[in-house]
Amino acid sequence: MNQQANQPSEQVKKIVIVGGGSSGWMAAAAMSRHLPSSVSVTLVESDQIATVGVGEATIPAIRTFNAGLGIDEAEFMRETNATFKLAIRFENWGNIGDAYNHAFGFYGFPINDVSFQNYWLKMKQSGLDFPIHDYNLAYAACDQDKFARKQFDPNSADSRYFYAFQFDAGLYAQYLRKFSEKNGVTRIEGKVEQVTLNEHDGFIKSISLESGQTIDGDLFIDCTGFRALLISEALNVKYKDWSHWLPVNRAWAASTKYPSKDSSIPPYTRARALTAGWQWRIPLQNRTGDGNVFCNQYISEDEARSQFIDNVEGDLLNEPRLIKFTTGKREKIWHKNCVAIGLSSGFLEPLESTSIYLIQASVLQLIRNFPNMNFSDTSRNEFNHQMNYRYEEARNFLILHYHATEREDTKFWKYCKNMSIPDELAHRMKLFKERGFVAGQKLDLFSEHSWLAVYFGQGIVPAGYDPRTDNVNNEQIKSFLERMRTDVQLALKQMPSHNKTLESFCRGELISKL
Amino acid sequence: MTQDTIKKIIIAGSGLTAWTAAIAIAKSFLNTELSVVVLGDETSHEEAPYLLPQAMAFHRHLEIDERVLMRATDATFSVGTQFEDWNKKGHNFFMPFGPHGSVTEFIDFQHFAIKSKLSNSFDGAYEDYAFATAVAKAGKFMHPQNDPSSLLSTLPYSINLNPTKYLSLLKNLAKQIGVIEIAESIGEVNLEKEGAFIQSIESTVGNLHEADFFVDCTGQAAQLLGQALKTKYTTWSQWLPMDKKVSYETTTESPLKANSKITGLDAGFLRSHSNQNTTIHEISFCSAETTLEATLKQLGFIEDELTSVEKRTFSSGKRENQWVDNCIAFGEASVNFPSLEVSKLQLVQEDVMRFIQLFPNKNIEPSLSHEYNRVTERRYNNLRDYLILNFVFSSRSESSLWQDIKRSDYPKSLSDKMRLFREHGKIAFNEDEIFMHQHWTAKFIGLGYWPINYDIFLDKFNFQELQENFVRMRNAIQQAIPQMPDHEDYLKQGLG
Repeated sequence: MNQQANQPSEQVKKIVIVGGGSSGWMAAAAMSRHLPSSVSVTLVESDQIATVGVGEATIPAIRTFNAGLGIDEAEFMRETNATFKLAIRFENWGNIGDAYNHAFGFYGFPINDVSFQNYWLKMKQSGLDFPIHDYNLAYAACDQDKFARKQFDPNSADSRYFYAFQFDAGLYAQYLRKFSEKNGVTRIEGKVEQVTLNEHDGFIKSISLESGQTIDGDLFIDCTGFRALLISEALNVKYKDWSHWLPVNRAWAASTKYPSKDSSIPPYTRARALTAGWQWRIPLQNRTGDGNVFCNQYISEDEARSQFIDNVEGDLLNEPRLIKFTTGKREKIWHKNCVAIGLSSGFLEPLESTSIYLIQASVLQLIRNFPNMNFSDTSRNEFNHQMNYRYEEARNFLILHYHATEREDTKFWKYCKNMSIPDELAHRMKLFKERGFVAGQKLDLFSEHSWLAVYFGQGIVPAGYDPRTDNVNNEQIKSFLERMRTDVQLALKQMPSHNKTLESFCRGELISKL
Repeated sequence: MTQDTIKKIIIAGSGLTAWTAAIAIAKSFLNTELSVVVLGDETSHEEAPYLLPQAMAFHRHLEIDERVLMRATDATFSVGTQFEDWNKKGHNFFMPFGPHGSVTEFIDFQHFAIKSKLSNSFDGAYEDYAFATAVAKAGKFMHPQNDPSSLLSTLPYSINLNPTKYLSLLKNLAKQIGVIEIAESIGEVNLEKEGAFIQSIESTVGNLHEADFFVDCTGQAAQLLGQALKTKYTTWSQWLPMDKKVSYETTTESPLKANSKITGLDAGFLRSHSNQNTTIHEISFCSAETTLEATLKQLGFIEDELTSVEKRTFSSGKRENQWVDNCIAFGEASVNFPSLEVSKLQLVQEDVMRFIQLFPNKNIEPSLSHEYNRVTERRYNNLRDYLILNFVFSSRSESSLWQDIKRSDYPKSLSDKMRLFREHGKIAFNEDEIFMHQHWTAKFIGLGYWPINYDIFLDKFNFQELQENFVRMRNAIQQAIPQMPDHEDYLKQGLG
C-alpha cells in the first residue's frame, strides 16, 4: 500500500494572488467569501500593467458564480454596463452565407423520454421541414432582439432557457475588487521583480516587488496572464500547444459606439467567420466591444487590421490594439504550491466565451480541492484532472466550429476542414452523424442543446435517429411538434425587447468613460 | 423515407437477466414492429436480487405498480445493509442508501465529523447521523415523504424480492406485452462471416432461429459473446478471489427488519436477504482457503440438515467489451463479482436501459457500441474498486484470504481514491459511478478509514453552533422512530 500520512497537516495560512484582472479578482472574491479568517488573502497588482480583458462575453455558468458570492444581479449589471446574453450568433461558419445562433435554450420537449431532435429528424425525412431552430425560444428571441429575465424551468415552454451577460471585464474586476477588499483581501500595488523558490523543494517561497517589499506565502495563485510569471517563468511548467487544432493566434481589439441612444442592443454576441479567422461584436449598454481574431500564417497583421476596420460597424472609440496568443494549456495548471488561473493556465480563443468560465471553474475546483501544508499530490492531481477535462471539453467544442465546415475558399478553411481532430470529438461527431445522439459526460459544460445548436448550425444532418420514435405515429408527432412550435411563437410574442428589459432592470449610469 | 429498423431481437437465456432485458426492451418498443424473442430452457439457480433504490424507478418505467410487485414477489423493504463481523469479529457498521447528516453550505457532512473526531468531541458513531440506520435498527419502515423539511424525505429505499417469484412475474408481464418464449436449448451459434456478426442460433432440437440482433443472457458461459464471438474475459480474481457460492433458505424470523445483512466469515462472507416468508442466505468464499463444510460449521450448520442447498463456482471479472457487432451481453455473461451491496441484476437493469438509449438500426451503427462499451468499462471498473475496498482493511487472521487481498496491489484508481480520502476527506470524481460519493464516504468510515484532515472551509462556521445543530438532528432522528410503524406491520397493512 502507499505510504500513509497519519498526522493532521498544518493549514495553509497565507494565499498570495499575483495579478488582478478578472481572474485575480474572481479568485480573491471567492476565496475571501468562503475562507475562515485564519487564512489571509493578499493580491498584488500593478496599475501600470494593462489587463487583456478580451473576455467580455460569458456563458450562463457565471450566474452561479455571482450567486455564490451573494451578488445582486441588477447592481452587478449596472456596475459593469452589462447586457443580457442569450446566444452567440455564428455567421459564415458552416458555409459562406450561413448563419445560426448557439442559443442557451432547449430544443423542443422530449416525447416518451426520447429527445426532441429524433422526432424532428424523422419528420424531416418524411417531408415536414420547419427549421429545428423554430423550436428553440432563446434562438427565436435573438432574431428579434428580445429578452425576458426568467428562471430556467424545463417544464414550461416560455422558460426553457438560460442566460449570461456581456459586460466590461475591467469594470467587473473593479466591482469584485470592492467586494474582496470589504471581505478583508489586502491589495498591494506594485510590480513583481523577483520570485524566490525554496532550495529544498522548489516551492515558491516569496515574491519581491520593485519597491523592495518581500511577500511570503503558502499558496500562490498566478493570475499574471500570458506572462505566467510564476507557473512558467519561475516554475518552468511547459505549455501544451494546441494551435494545430485551433490555429488562430492574433486579435485586433477595439470598441465602437452605438449610432444613437435608442439603437437596438442585441441579446447576443456576434461571431462572423472571415478568411483566416473571425470577427466578434459584443454589445454592452454603452458601447460595443469588437475584435478580429486571425491566424498570422494565413493573413498578415496589417491585412487583418484593415479587414477588421472594413467589417466593423459604428465609429471606433479607440485605436485597435493587437493581442498575441497561442492556443493551448499549461501542462499542469497546479504545480507545487502554485495554481495558475486565467490566461496563465491556458487560452482557447474567445469564440465560445469560455475564458471567464474556465477561471470560475479553476477557482471552484481550488476551493473544492484546497491543499494543506503537506501539499501532497492527491488534491493537486484531482484538481489537475478535473481542469484538464474541462479544458479539453471546451477545446473540442471549439474545434467543432472550425472543422464541421464546407468551406474551402481559403487555405485557412481548407486546413480546418481537413485537419485531424481529437478522438473524443471524432467519436462524438460520429455518434451524431450516425444517429443524432449527443454524447455527454457529467463534467461537461456544454449541454446536449449546445451541441445540437452547433451540430445543426454547422450543417451536420444525422443519417439515423432513435428507433423508439416509431412508438408514436407520424400524425401524433406532427401535432406535438406543431404545438411546440406555436408555443415558442406565443412565448416570443409576450417577450419584451432586450432594450426594454435592460431599461427596467439595470439601466446603468454611463460609468466607464472611454 | 423511413430508416431500416431492427425487426427481430433474440434474447438467449432463460433466467432473470433474460427476462429483465426482454421486458425492458419490449416495453420501450411496444408500438413498433420489433419482435422480442426469449430463447432458452435452462432452469438456472437465481441469485437473490440485491437492488438499489434506482430499481424503484426501473419498475416505474415498466409501469409495474409497487404494491403489485411486492405482493407477487413476497418482497420486503430495505433502507440499507448491516455489515457484521467485518474487518474482524465484532466490527459492525450500517450502510444506508440515504445520506448522513447534512451539508454545511457546500461542505459535506464528513468534514464536521472529522473535525469533531480530531478534537475528541464526536458524539456517537458516524452511522447514527443517518436516519436509515435508526429506522433499520428499530425494525421500522414507512414510505418517504415529499416534505423536504421532514427526515422522512431522506429515506430512499429498495426492495428485497424473491427471485423465483420475481421471475414468474416478469415472464407473465413480458408475455402480456408480446414477448415470445421459445423453450429450446441453445446449440450452435452461426456467424455471418469469420468471427463476426451472429446470423442465427440453432437450438439443440434442430430449429434455426434468425434475428437482426442478439442479446447474450446465458450467464457465465457467455455462449454468444464469449464462445461464438470470442470476446476475452478480464479477470479480477487477484483482488476478488472468492470463487464458490452456496445458498440455502430458512424461514424468515420475526422481527423482520428493513435491511439486508452481510456477515464476514473466515474466508468469505454470508449475505442474508429476507423476503416476507423465506430468507435466502448466500455464502461466497474462496475454495483455496476453506471447505464448504468448515464454512457451514462456522455458521453452526451441517450441510445435510439444510434443504435446497445450491452450489456454484464463479470467477470475478468482465468481458473486454459488452457489445460486439450485433450482440450485447448482460448479467454474468458480461460481468461477474461477489455480490456485496449490489447484485448483478441491478447492473442488468441499468445496462439494459442504457442499451435502449443507444438501440441500433439494422445497419448497427458502430459509434453506438463504442459509446456503450466505453461507459460500461468505466462503470464496471468503478464498481470493481468499490467491491475491493470492502476487503482492504480486514484484520482477520483466521485465513490468508483477507490478508492476500490486503497485500495485493490495488488498481491505481482505488489507491488514488484512498489517499485523497485519507488526506482530505474527499472522494475523487470518476465518471459513471454506481455508488455516489456519499456511499464511498460512508464505506470508508464504516471500514474505520478516517481521514486525518477536514475541509478548512468548515472553519468559517461557528463550530459550537454546528455541534448543537447536529445534536438536534440526532435527537430528531431518535424522536421520529417511535412514531413510525414496524416494518412487519407496515407490510401487512400496506400490502394485505
